Order: sequence, then C-alpha cells, then structure tokens
Amino acid sequence: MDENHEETTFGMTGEQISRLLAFALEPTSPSDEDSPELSRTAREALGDLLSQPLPSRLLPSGLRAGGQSVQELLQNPRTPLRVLKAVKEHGKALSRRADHRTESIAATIVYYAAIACARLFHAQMISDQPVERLADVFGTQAKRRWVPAELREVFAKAKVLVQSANR
Amino acid sequence: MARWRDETDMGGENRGFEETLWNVVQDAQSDDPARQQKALNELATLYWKPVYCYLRRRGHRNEAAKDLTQGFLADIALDGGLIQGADPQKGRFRTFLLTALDHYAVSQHRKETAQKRMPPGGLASLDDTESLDLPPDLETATPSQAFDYACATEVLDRVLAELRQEHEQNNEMMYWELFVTRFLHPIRYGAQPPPLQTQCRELGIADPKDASNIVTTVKRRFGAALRRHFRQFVQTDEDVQEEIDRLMTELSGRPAGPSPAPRIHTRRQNTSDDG
Repeated sequence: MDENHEETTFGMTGEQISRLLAFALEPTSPSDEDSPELSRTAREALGDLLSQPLPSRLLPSGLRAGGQSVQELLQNPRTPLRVLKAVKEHGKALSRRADHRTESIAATIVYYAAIACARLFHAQMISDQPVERLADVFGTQAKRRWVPAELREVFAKAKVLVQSANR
Repeated sequence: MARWRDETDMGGENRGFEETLWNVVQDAQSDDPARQQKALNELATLYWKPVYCYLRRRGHRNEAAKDLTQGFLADIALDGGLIQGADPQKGRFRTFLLTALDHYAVSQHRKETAQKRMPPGGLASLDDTESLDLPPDLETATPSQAFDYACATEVLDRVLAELRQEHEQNNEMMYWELFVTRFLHPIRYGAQPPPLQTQCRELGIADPKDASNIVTTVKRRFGAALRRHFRQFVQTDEDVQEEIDRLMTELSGRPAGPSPAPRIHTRRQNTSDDG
C-alpha cells in the first residue's frame, strides 16, 4: 500500500469521516464486549484449565511440577522459567485445539498468563510479540472480572512492566 | 501543529502536560521572532484548509476565499492583534477563531491588502497551494460544518501519516497493509476486504488469528493517536471524547457515498475562479 501515504481524507463524505472516527474509538478490548453468557462459560472453561496439572510430557526433562495445578504454577513466583514456557506452549496448543470460542479464550489467557508471569517473576520476555501488543492484551485480561483476581493482578503488574520497559 | 511532550493515558498522571492550541497561541504572542514564526506556521498549517472551506461556505468565491484565507492568517502573523485578543479563559479556540474570522471577512480593506501582507518567511501551506476543490459533500454544508469537516480531515491525515510512518520505521508494513485493506479502504471506497485466509497467504501469516490480532493492535494505535491529536483542541483530557462526539454528530448527517479523488491545484496549474 505504498501509495497510501499520499492519500488524504479530504474528499471523503462527512458520513465516512464520522465512521472513521467512530471506528478508531470503538472498543477493541474483548473485555468491553464480553456478554454475561460468554463471561460465564469462559469462566468455567478457564477454571477447568487452571485446575488441571500441567501434563508431565510438556515439562522439560529433570523438572517436576509436583502435581501443582496450572493456576498454582502461575501464582508461584518460584515457578521456574522453563516451566512457565511449558505452560505457555500448553496454552497455545489448547487454543489451537479449541472447539468453542470460550475454550479458545480460556486457553489464550493461560498462554498470556505464562508470558506475564515470566516477565513479572523472572524479568524475562518469553514472547516475540510487540510489547505494545502484550501491554494491550495484559490490560484487557486485567479488566476481565471473570478472570481470577490473582491472575488479573499478575496481568496488571506485567502490563506496567512491559510499558515501562518500552519507554 | 502542536507539539507533544509526552504520550499520556487518558486522565493519567501526566494529564495537562500536553500542549494545546492555546500554548501555540502563547508562542505566537512571544517576543522571540523564531518562536513566534514557528507557532504562526503551526496555526497556518493546521487552519488554512478549515478557514478556506468556512469562507467558501460563507459564500465567498474561490479567489476571494483564497485571498481572505491568506489575509486572515497573514494578519494574525503580522499584526498579532487577533492573537493578542485570544484568551483561553474566554472559551474554545474554535469559537475564538471563527468569531475573529467573521470580523475579518467583513473588513474590506483587509481583504484588499491581503496579498501584500505576508511575513518575511511566508506562511507554511499557503506558499505552494493555491486552492482546493470543495468536496461535493460540502456543497450543502453550513460554514461551521465545513470548518469542522476540514479540521477533522486534517487531523485524520496527520494521524494516518504518523501511523504509517511508525509502522514503516518499525518494519511493520504488513500491519499497516492489513489495516488499510481491511478497514480504511472499505470505509473510504466501500470496497470489500479480501478474504482473511487469502490475505494471510499473500502476507505469509500462518494463522488468521494472528492477522486479527495485528489489525486490532493497529486499530488501537489509531484510536490512541487520534485522541492524542484531538487533545490539542480542548482544555482537558476529559473533553477529547466530547469533542470527537461533537464532530461525529456534526458530520454524520451528511450523505454517504464513494469519495472522489481530491484535487489540489497549484498556482501554476489552476488560474480559474470556479466560484
């Protein structure tokens, strides 16, 4: 779209300008759009995922999760970085296999929670995504009332960290 | 255009540190010639098109509107009288400017001497651009709507140019291309965006979800930049949304349709008075 930088919006109709303004300002955060039904089903799906232990086959050799649930791993500052990376891959795999939107949302939260924990507990980035994108996602999850409070706190703190590192 | 010291969240702790147009006005009143010239050029660059459109919808023909626009902005630059009367305590800059413009437009002697009154360095935007065809959509607009329309397009042009440059500098042109084809062109031309799967293949994006995330990210940046630019028109962060809502209300009553390509004529290209 190389020629686009030479375009101007002068010439568009007032209606089009208005639509462009409205488009820019409409909420992009899923938290703003979650219906009560989606919130309920996603909370259940996330609860299921968080309560299960991390499959041992995903753990790096020589490491044990000690039977801890995914939620316990995500809330424990001493969870090794390699385990958090495994949790992240676990979330990604579950997201790909998800049959329903709520399952995908829940798996995605696990995925980003692992990234947030790595940043918060180990000062490490385990994602190549742009920091702006991560800050957006962390901020979105921190606002979702149906996400467990402990995880929301992790997301909120991680958001501040990635934003400050980006300045 | 106004300069920005910091990018702040809405209502964040740095609230109030952004520069508004009133700060630029204060610079325009400065005793420092360089500072004054810079500020005046900022005002002229931002407002020549809105002032011109306003005057056209006030009933001034093309040539007269051009002369008045140039004269009005030059008057601000040379006399400073209009600017000296500007006081942020008295209300919005838009109101002040349009009142001053109305007064100026009825003053024939200023109009007659407009061409002769230019600061030594000239004024940005007026030197190389002579006239602008009004879009058909403005043919039935009120002067105030025409002014707001031109202000909105000026800000949007700046925001979009800034966004494009940002993505280019960050080697994220793929982000920009997705945003343009999926949102800008559909709004502008009524074009259907290509199927996401097809576009992902063309751009080498493995998962359409990634493409959706990218578009969301650019859209969020677009919204943030737009708010930041509109902040210069209002006194507080809280007023930004109100100002944009006002503009949308003002503009959305105008008929929709495919937009023609805008035509900007230089002095050499166009000498006719289209009325």
